[in-house]
Formats: sequence, structure tokens, C-alpha cells
Amino acid sequence: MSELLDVFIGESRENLESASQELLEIQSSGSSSERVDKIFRDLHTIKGSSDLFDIKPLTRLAHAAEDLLDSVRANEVAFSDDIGELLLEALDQISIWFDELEVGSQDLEQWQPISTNLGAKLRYFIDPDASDGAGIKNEASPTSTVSLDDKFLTDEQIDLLASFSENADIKLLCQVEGPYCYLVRYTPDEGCFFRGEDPINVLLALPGLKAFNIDMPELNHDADIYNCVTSIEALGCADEDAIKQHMAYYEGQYTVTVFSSQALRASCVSKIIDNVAQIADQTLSDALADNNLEQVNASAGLLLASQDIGDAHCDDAKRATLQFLSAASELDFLRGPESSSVAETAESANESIGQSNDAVVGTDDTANVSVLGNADEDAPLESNAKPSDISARPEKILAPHEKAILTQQLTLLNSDNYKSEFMFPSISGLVGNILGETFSDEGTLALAICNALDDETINEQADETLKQQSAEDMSAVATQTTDTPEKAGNNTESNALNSTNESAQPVKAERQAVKMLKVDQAKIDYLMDIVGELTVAKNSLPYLAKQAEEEGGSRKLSKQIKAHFSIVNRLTESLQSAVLQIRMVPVSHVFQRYPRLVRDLARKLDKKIELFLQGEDTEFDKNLIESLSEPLIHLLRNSIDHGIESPAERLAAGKSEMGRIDLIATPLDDSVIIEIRDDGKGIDPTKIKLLAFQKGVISEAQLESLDDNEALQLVFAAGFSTSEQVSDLSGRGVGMDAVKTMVSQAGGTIEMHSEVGVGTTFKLLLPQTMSVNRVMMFEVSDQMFGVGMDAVVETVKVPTSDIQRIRNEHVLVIREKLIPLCNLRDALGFDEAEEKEEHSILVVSAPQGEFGLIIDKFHEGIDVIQKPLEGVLAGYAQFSGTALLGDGRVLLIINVQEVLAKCL
Amino acid sequence: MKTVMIVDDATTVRMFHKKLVSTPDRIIEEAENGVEALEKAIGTQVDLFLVDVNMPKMDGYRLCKEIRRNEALRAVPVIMISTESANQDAERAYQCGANYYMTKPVDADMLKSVVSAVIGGGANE
Amino acid sequence: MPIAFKKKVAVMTGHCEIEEAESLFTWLNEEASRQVNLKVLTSAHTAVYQVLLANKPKVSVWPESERLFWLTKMMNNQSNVWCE
Repeated sequence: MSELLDVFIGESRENLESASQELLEIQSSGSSSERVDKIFRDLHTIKGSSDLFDIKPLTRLAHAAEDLLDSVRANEVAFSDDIGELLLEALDQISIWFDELEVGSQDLEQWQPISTNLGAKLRYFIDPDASDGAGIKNEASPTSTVSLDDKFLTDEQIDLLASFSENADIKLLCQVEGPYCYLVRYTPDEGCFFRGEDPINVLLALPGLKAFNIDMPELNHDADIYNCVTSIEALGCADEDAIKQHMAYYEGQYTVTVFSSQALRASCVSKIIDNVAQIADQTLSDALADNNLEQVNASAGLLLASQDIGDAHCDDAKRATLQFLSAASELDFLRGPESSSVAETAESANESIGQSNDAVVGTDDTANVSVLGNADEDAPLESNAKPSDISARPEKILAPHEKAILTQQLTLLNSDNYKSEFMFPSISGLVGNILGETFSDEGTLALAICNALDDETINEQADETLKQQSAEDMSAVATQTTDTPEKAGNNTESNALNSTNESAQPVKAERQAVKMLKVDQAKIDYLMDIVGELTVAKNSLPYLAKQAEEEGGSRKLSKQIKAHFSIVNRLTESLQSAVLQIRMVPVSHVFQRYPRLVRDLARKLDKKIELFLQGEDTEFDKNLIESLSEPLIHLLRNSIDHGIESPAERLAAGKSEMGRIDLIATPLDDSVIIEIRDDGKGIDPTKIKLLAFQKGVISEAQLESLDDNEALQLVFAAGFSTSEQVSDLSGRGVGMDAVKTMVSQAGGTIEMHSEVGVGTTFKLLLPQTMSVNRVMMFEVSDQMFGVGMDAVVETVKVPTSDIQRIRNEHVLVIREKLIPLCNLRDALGFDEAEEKEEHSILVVSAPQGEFGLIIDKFHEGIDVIQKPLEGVLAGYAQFSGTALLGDGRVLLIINVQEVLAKCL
Repeated sequence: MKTVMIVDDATTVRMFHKKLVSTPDRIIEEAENGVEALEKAIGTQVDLFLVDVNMPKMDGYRLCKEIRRNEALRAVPVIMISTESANQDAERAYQCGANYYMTKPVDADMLKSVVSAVIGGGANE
Repeated sequence: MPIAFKKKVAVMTGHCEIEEAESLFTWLNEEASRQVNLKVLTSAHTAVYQVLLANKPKVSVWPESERLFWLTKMMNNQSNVWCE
């Protein structure tokens, strides 16, 4: 759940950001429907997602803001600066709450008044006439269906209290605090211990707990003590929300009845009067008759202390009565109801039963089931039953989800705007899936649904499992069919909330424990290694399938293995991307160090430079990003040092005094492009060429043939930038080859563009993750090799006669393109192959163009995690790494560029 | 293998729904809005759409209509999941061709059951 | 060791986790006369409470912790417990 919360906070922060930006835009350049729409959508998303967590105050505030924007959107309310300010305030508040959520320090009780207050202000704009907070009240307690106005307990509640213990009502009354009391029946599942649940300790932590029963059978010698056989009843004082929050994890295992303290008191009146009569203390009776509160308190206290209370049987009740009276703060309630007989009490209790049904959440639903049976005898049997027939008694059709779905499909079939062409396929398919039949026309389909609905009802009473279906489900289903959506809608919402939310305390505890997990990177690397090995192990399945087919001769087995492989494959991929995801961090982690660096360096050099960052939120593998930090600093320093001119020079060149460096990260597929642009003096390619020639980096022929762009790339060449002088003359070059090495070690490429007088751009193309590489396998001299799939252009088989020889080189013409060939047997130091009629050629692309590698045999593509060469192999530049194959063989992956360099 | 496409502009909600309906025998596709959903759905085998109502570019109602108009997708059941519990939203969803309507935040078990009922599987999770 | 099994008495200390329930149960079942000393017990997992409440072994010393007042009451066959 906490991962979800992190995603939620991350996403919502973006929404907040964009909403505030739009709001600021509106304030500076006026309101537009597009902007309002955008803000509305942002808040809508926050509200919708926040509903998944138990952060009601936040949800409510977002909801209020959303509603206000909806009114603005519908032109019911004109946008004003006041509204803008208020919305900004709400956004800030939500942002603050996110901060708290992030560190797990949220206190929902503190949020509550803030949310109510701001929400009321927002709603005031929607409807200033609405009585203060009318809408909020509605929202504030969606689950509290108990009204403080309930005068008496219902019969049901009285029975529940009586079954808890004798005199439970009056004993509870003595200890009442707050407006609501509850009775929880909590029967944990047998297997709950295995889910880590600890029912008795959950009970002991119930808010406002006053009394409880724990019931359990005796355990036989051979009993499984890991089965939970405990059942619990608890009495206490708290509202329904608090209980539901506390019990959120145990949804379906408990029921709660909430009643008002006032009703409890009212229902105790006759008992109190009885007990006072039985105690028969003159002082107390007189004091009560005189309505002398002080006297009542005092004499009750005295009697309680003297413990001079009748027979043992009534002991409890009398003691409780006295206890209550000794602490009573008013006595009026005893006066009025004196006339109210028990019968009357019962009558008014009956009246409020309707309400109490709402209050009793998830009680045993045997009653519902029997009602159901009756209802469905009248359910439509004819296929042409009109929808109204169904909706006529919707509240009685309480059925499990399938029934609800079927009912809905029938309604759709019968609806006025039903169009066979559009709707029949999906309805018949869906119904077919549930009923396991196929249908050719509407008639048989509708009939089948009707019959099924009916059969279902009959089976239902017999089916124990259906009885166990929680009442929540029932009511949730009912909403789908009911025609009183308002009430039922709320119901579903509250139920859904309970099952998906975590209660405040557990959330807190969990967040504090989990929060941002700081993990030693080595552990994640280790995980990554294991995933790598898993990938390899997974790769062995296709081999196995092949073997099963070829050697075992079982196609069926082979097929099964293949099917299995696809599942394992998918899971491995998810696992891998999950692990890689852990390692992803935004580039801002590195970028944020640079503005300071640039400022300091510029100041030192008396230059005026501004650094602009773009795409800081682009994500990157942490390892990669850290390996990049140094080369990036190098490049930036170069731009500052040698790229950007002094202010005087700049002015003379007609540029603004202030130099500009742009650092831009852009995601591109699975890679990220990082550009460092300066608007400095640029680099002259001719100078580079000359220098390179002097340093012996290039030959005289190359001096002639290299074009400007190629010349520029020479700064990366090894041996070019070793001399201090070079950097002075060219303005570039310090450690450029080092930069290039670091970048290519990270699996990336670097290039440079420059225009004299205009500026220089370095462009780094880097893989976003250290992900798995897809390589193409091939065989040379009975050995397996791999080459990165992205380098492969095509694979061709050509007759030997097609291979031509130009000067000393083998070439091949494919589609009028001349492709130089490289014999890998030569390049890798194998013996010459015997003459063949046909050659397999792997066409690969390299920066210099396309080349063909002559190999022996093609094999399939495969996912591998490439490992760097170690030990003695490390010196072989022709290989970029190794990978393990499914059958345990080691695959050498060739470094195309190096091989070509050796070969050509 | 059955494919469920979850269409919702809120990543959090998509993730949540994905968690709920994911089983080893299901492929979960995600789309941020109606346009993306259609693009992804055409040419893939989708067995069920779980569609949010309020989305940028193309909202749930439009998406639902488009699905019904598209011959290749027509037979795919659509479950609409909306924050709005108002009745007219459900009605509108059904008018647009949805097979079922649920309100957000959905009851976790309920969504699981409904999805299992519609496309099968995942029952013994 | 949250539970120290002596000859006749199991001394339970601090918080007893679910893992202790099985050994306690088996140990108590081996001989009917075995007792528990709850003096320094502060809390336990439901499974442990279950063993204590279901079989109600003889208690040599009752818990000192006020938080366990209910356990004392319940092991003395009081059916419902009121918090004071």
C-alpha cells in the first residue's frame, strides 16, 4: 500500500504543480475555460486517487475545490481573484499534507478542522446562501448514519446490550463519554493468525473501549493452536468512523452497532428509577423528587461508598445506578420520561428501526436472504419483461455480484436505446461467460438471464457460501440495481472506503516503519544480479521445450513448457523492471549541483554565465547518473573555461554580455539525451585537424579527407588532448577522451557539434537503465558469440560468387549499396574456414556506416544481462562483455566497433 | 490468457486497479485516456475494459461509444468506474454502451469478483 | 526467552509472540498440574492468550501489569470485563 501512496504523492504533486501554475497564469493573464478545465482535471485526479487512502480531510478539501471549479467551468460562478487566492491556499494546504504523509507524520485530527474550514470557504463561493457548512456536514460524516436525535435505543440494540451482559446498558451509561457508543462483535477467521492478525490486541486498542467479552471453546490436546477460535464482543464510546477506521483491516470479520449516548441514557431511565426504588434510600429519593442535583450526587456517592446495597443479584445494577447518579450533571431527562412507559419506549424504538438498519453495518443477513427468496418469485420470467418490472422492486433484489451484472445486462437489453448491432456482442459474450452458454439472439439471451436469475435464487438459500458473503457486498450490489441512488450511492462509497482504507493508526505505524526506505545500494545490486541469473535460468526453458520435442518426442510437453515459459518470462520482466525502477532517480539529483558550480567558476574567471536546466525530472539509473556526474562537470567546465568568451569579447562579437549554457535532458525511447550547449566562440575544425595531425592522431591522407564534422569528433580521440598546449590553442580538449571513455563505459555515445562564433553542443546519448540487452547469437568456428541487437541491420545469406574484391577488401553489394565485409574468423583469430558456396553475413551498423560480418551460422535473439569482462579477458577489446546462456555456456559479446577497427 | 485494459488518467488509480485485478493468468494493459486506449486496443486482443469517466483527450463515455462502434472491439465488455456516484452518470454510461458501472473508490473484493465473473479466472486468488 | 519452562511452572516474561503459543500449549498438556507464572508478563499474541484462556491452567503468580487486569479476571471465570 505504501508504494501506492508514494506513487499517489508523486503524481499528485505534479497535479498540484500544474494546477498552481495555471492559477498563476490566470491571475496574470486572465481566466480561460481551458485553464479552468486543466485545474479542474488536476484536482479531480487528486480527489479520485486520494479516495484510495484514508485521508478523508484531504479528499474533502480537494473535492470542495473541484466542485468550485466545476461551477466555474459551468459558468455558474465567475472566476475572481479571491477564488484564485483561495484555491492557491487550498493547493498549498494539500501540498503541506503531502509533506506530512511523506514522512508519516500526518495527524488526521488536526487536518480535519483545516479541511472543514477551507472547504466551507470554497463552497461559500458556489452557494453563498447555503447554510454554513451544509454541504460539508453532508460530506463530513458519510458513514455516520446514527443521528444524535435518536431518542431511544432500538429493540435490536437493547437485545444486543442485554446479550452482552446483564445491565450492560446502565453500566455502560456510567462510563459514557462523547455522543456515540458502540457494540462491536468481532469474530476473527480461523486462519487470521496466518495473515499476521492479532485479534485480542486489536480489541484492547479499540478507541474508547469500556468492556469486552472474549469467548472461546476449550482446546483439545490435539487442537491446532494456530487456528483462531476466539470471538469477541466489545462495548465502548466512539463514533462509527473511528471504529471502522480501527477495524479497517478486519473487514468482514466484525459487525458494529452504533447508538447515541443520549438514546442509551433515555433507555436506561426506567431501570434507574426501578433501582432507586429498590435501594429505597429516603435521602436519595427525596433529592431526586426535588430535582436537587447536588444532593443526588452527594447521597448517591455516599451510598456507593458505604456499599450498603441490597442483594447480590442486583448488586451490579444498583452500583451502576448509584455511580451514574453520583456523577450525573443533570437530572431533567429523568423527569420527562417518567411518564414514558416501557411500551412507549419500544414503540418509538420501532419507528427508528429504519434508521438503525443503516447503523447496523454488516449484521447477519439471513433475514435478507429470505426476503430475497420472496422477491424473486415475482422476478420477471418473460424475456420481454420491461425494465420497469425489474426496477419496480429493486431494493429487494439483493444478490451477489454476478446476479447484479446479469440484471444489468437484462436492463440493457430491454432499454429504450438498445441497439442490437452495437450492444448484442458484448452483452451476449459477457452473459455467456457467466452462464457458460452461447446465444444467437436477444430472445434466448434474455430468457437465459431470467432463468439464471431464478435458479440462482433457489440455489442461494442452500448455498452456505453465499450466506457468508458480507452484507457490504450485498449493499454494494444493491446500488447497481437500486433506483434510489443517492442513499445507496453513499452507502457503497462508505463501504468501499472501509475495505480499501487503512485506519489512521495503522497507517501511521506502517508509514513510519516503511517510509522512504534507505537501502544499501549493494543490496539492490545483489538483487539485480539475482534477477540477471533468473533471466538466464528462464532462458533455459525454450531449450528444454526443444529437447522435450526432439529427444523426448513429446510435443505436448514441449507446448506446456513453452506456455510456462511465457508466464515466467513475463514475471521475470516485471521483476526486472521493478528492480530497475528502484534504481531510477531524476537527473536533478546530479543537475542540482551545477548552478552553483557554474556561478562559482564564472565568477572566478570574471565571466557572466547563466545556466539553464531543462528536463531535470527525467529519470535515470542511479549508477549511471553517478558515473555521469564527473564527465558532465568536465564538459561544463570546458564550456565555461574555453567556450564562453569574456564579457568584453562577447560585446565585441555583438553578443550579449551574459553567456548562456543549457543543460538539457530529454528522454528518447529507452535512452536519455543529455545536451550541453553554450553560445560561446565555438571550435574551428581546421585547427583541430591540424593539431591532430601534429600529434600523430591522424595521417596526412586523413588530414585531407576528413570533413568538418569528422574533424570535430577528433577531440575525443585518445592522444589528442594530452598536452596543455592543445587546450590553450583549441579551446577544448582537456580530458575529452576521458569523458568519452566514461560515457561509453556507461553504454552511451557522445558527439560534438560546433560552429565558430555561435557555440558548441555536446550531445550524450545514454541508456536509461542498465537493462537487459537483446543480443543476436551467431556461431563462428563452433563457438557462440553475440552482438547487440540494436547494431544488427539485417542478416543475409549470399553465394560466395557475390562477394567481390575491391583493392584488398571484400565487399558485397546489397540493394545497390556497397558493404565492406569483415571475416570474423580472421578478426577473432580462428583458422580460415574451408571454401563454402554460401556465406552467412550479419550486416551491422557502426558510426562509420554499415558493415558485413562474415560468420558461420545464425542463431536466435536472446535477452541477456551483460557482464563486463574480467580477469585475463579484460584486455580483449573485441569483446564488450559476457553473458550466461540458459544451458550454462558463456556467450561472448563482440564490440562491433573494435572488431571493425581490427578488421578493416 | 485474458487481457484487461485499465483506462484512467490517474496513475495511482491505474496502479490500484491493476493490483486488484492482476493474476498470473491475466495481462494488464494500461492507457491514460480514451485515445491511447483505442490505439493500444486495436490490433491487440482485449477481453475487458475498465474505464474511468473523466479523462483528458477522450473521456470514458466517448471511449465506450467508440468501442461499440468499432467492429473489432464491439464484443469486449466495458466496466465503467467513476468517482461520480450520481445516478445520471451510471445512466449515461449505460447509454454509451457500458456493460456495468461501479463507483470509485471501488470495493476491492467487489471489483475482483466482477472482473472474475466477466472474464473468468482469478477466483481462487 | 519470553517463556522459561521450569519443572512445574512456566515463567512468562514481557511480550510473548505467537511462536511461543505452541510450546506453551504442548508443555501444559504434558501434565495437568503444570502452572504458569504471569508476574512479569506484559502482553501476548492472541494465540498465547487463547492457550491461557481456553485451558485456564493454574496460575502461580498473577500479572503485575495493570494492562493485564482483564486476563486475571477472565482466567478467574469472569465472563465480561469492564474497564475501570
